[in-house]
Amino acid sequence: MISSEISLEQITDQMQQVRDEIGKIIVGQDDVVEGVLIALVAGGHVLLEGVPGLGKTTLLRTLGGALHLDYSRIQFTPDLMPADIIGSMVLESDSVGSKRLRFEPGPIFAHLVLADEINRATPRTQSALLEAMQERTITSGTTTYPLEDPFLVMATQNPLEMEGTYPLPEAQLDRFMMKILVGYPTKNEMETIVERTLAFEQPSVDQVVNRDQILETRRASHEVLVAPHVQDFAIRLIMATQPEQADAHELAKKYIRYGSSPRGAQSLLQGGRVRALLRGRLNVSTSDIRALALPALRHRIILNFDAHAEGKPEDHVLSEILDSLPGGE
Amino acid sequence: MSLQRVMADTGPLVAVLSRTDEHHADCTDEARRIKPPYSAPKRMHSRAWGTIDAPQATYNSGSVVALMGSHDQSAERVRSAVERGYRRVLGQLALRDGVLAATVALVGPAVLLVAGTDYFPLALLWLFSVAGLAAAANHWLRSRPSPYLVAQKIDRGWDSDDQISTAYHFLNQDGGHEEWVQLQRRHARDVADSGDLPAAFPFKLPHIAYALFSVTLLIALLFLVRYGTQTTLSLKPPLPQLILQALLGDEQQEELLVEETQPRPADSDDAASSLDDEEDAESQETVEIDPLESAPMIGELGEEFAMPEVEGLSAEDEFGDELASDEGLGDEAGTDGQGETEDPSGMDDPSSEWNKESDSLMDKLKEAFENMMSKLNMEEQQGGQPSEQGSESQSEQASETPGQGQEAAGSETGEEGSQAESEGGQADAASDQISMEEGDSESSEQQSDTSIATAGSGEGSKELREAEQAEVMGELSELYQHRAEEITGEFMIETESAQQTARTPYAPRQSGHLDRGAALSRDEIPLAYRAYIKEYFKQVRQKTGK
Repeated sequence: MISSEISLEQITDQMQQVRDEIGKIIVGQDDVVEGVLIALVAGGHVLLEGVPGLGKTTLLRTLGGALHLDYSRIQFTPDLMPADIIGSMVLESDSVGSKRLRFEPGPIFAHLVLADEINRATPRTQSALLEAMQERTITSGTTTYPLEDPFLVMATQNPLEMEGTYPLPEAQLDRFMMKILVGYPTKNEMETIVERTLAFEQPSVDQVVNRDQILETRRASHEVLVAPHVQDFAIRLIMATQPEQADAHELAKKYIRYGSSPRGAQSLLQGGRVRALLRGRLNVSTSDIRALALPALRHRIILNFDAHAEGKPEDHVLSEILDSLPGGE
Repeated sequence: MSLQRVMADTGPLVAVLSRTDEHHADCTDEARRIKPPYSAPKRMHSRAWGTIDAPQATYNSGSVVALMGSHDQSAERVRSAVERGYRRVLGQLALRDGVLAATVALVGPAVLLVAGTDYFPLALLWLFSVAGLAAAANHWLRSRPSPYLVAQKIDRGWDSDDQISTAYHFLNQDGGHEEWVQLQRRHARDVADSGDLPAAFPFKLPHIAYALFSVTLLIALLFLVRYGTQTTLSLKPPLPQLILQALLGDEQQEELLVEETQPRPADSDDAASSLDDEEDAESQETVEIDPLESAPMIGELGEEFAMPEVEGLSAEDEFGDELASDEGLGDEAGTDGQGETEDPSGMDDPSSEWNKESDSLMDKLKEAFENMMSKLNMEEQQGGQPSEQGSESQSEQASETPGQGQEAAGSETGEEGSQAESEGGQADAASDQISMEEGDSESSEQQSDTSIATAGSGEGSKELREAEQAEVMGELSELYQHRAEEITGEFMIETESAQQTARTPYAPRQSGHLDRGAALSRDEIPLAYRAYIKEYFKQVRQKTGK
């Protein structure tokens, strides 16, 4: 027994149930599903990037269905206004005829918020999410409203069709715990997808985990042990991406304009704790750090012109740095 | 004074220890709230274990007993695994550093075998041994890992996701929730129980072992070389000296052989002056060799030394040409009339070249020398003093008779050669082969005559051995004075370096340049790259503005 409330076996069982429910709809994409679950338990936000048709929106909608949580979906468009997200003051009159302003919460007031095609909204609207994602509060007028835990923003964006889009500013990107790339399914997965599409009955998703269980899992994840050498590995990885540091990697000095912020280290360790817990471990391993390095850091580094000119993406630079980092093989 | 958590009542202890006790669950939950280890008085502890009939405890030296729970067993097993791994790592490090010490220590004997005790006293071997030990100790102290580092290596070897190292760290450090620490320690214990230490630390031959093998091989090689060049086991002389002695000793012997086979000029003069009145006809018959008769045989010998660089030349021609072109020999032969007997150094150079080029010549020379010595011995056996006189007369005849021939031929050749030089007006005619060819026709005709005279027209009626004897006696040097009448083939002319000017005609060239119009068409720039393109053109404009 870990504690009187929840056990390690219960945690792993609950997360497996969520995976199974998502697996009814989503074929494959195990890393994507695990990344979203890690972000949910760790209290972060996740940005999914992939070409259209890979099931990003479906995945997040299925996750919302598998969890007994409030779920809302916001389709980001260029004419979307901040009040459309956070809510606005509405004038209402009572039975006696007196009028007063009342705050009508927007779709941001939910546990799971799906921000679909977030890069299509203007920076003004995108910035409306900044406070919600970091401080988990919404300020309307002079009143600040707290958001209820768990609060997870799941955003999607399309790397194609850049016309008429507004790339997310670095400050907002940094607030996402992970940026997960959604890839194409394999041949077997494609066959399964087609078979399910042709089937007469579509599977339904059951709610298997409630809010309290998720919060308990989050509390348990904070107790996962982190050995000093694992913590040191994560810090060295972050420092290696900062080109101005003495410990910076050669590729970082060559291709990276701005390295990862300390939020990167926080995301690595907190995500590593949840990942270890999902695997039935009570300690963070360097393998957890390595597994989370790309999704946790690829949107936190800004490449310079040389990297773009030479066709070196973020993943390539990070992988090289990760491979050259001593310890934690 | 440290504080201990002491249980005052036996009841809860029995309930905790016995699963069948009705209060086991409640007492266990309460016990979880207390950070272990728990302590209890010895009497109470004995009563509790006696009640449940399970004598499991670890006694301290005092009157209280610390109850070691399952987490402590896990701790012991994790610690034991790490310590076993630590000992294994230390063993491997000891092996590596031992090999390092042996390698450094073996450098001393290697140096000793090279330098010998003349330059490397035996006492210095201790210095290398001490240096090896110091290097090993330094390396040991610097590379000895901590047990925590060993635990990390165990995790990597077992692929256990840092469970052992994490458990080991929280064995010695406070931090984390105690329940989580214990539970994680149990997981690590399971890993430790199922793990295999040799798999985590497989035996690897240290890299320094290759250096040890190399030094050992070097020592063996030096030993073989050293005692292959000398018959004793003395370490005194340095190895380079032994090698030089071994190499130069043969050459010196060969030089001695050559020198002994050639009569020294001073000796021949003395002998000639002392034996003018005592010429022995028999000794002349025994040692005198007609150069005219030996010439064909010498020609046969000369064929063995034909110069491959000049094609189309006969052996005699080549010899004659080469030797005639040799600086000093022709002059000395022509002016002194003594030829190579006058100047031993003039004989040493070609003989040494021949010795280097062909071992057969040395063999023949040795054989001829042996024959000559055997004949001298025979004469000594025939009579004491007369034999000596005979040998002296022999040497005199050997020097006089060919000397006369050389005088007869060499003086003519030399004088007329000098006349040719003076007539031709070429200062380097004696040393320059080309100038000799372009000299006076008289000199060439006379030289051809002398070559005919010295090489002889008679067919070889003597044995090859006699030719070799003649060669040993200096008859072969007759060839030095002669050169071919006609030479065909390829020649390489070497001239002295001088300032030269190469002139190349200069033709001016003209080039034209035409301007072409160009148009820059607008291209679609991806949104993500617009900032970079803008920055690029901004920098370009700034550079252009400067």
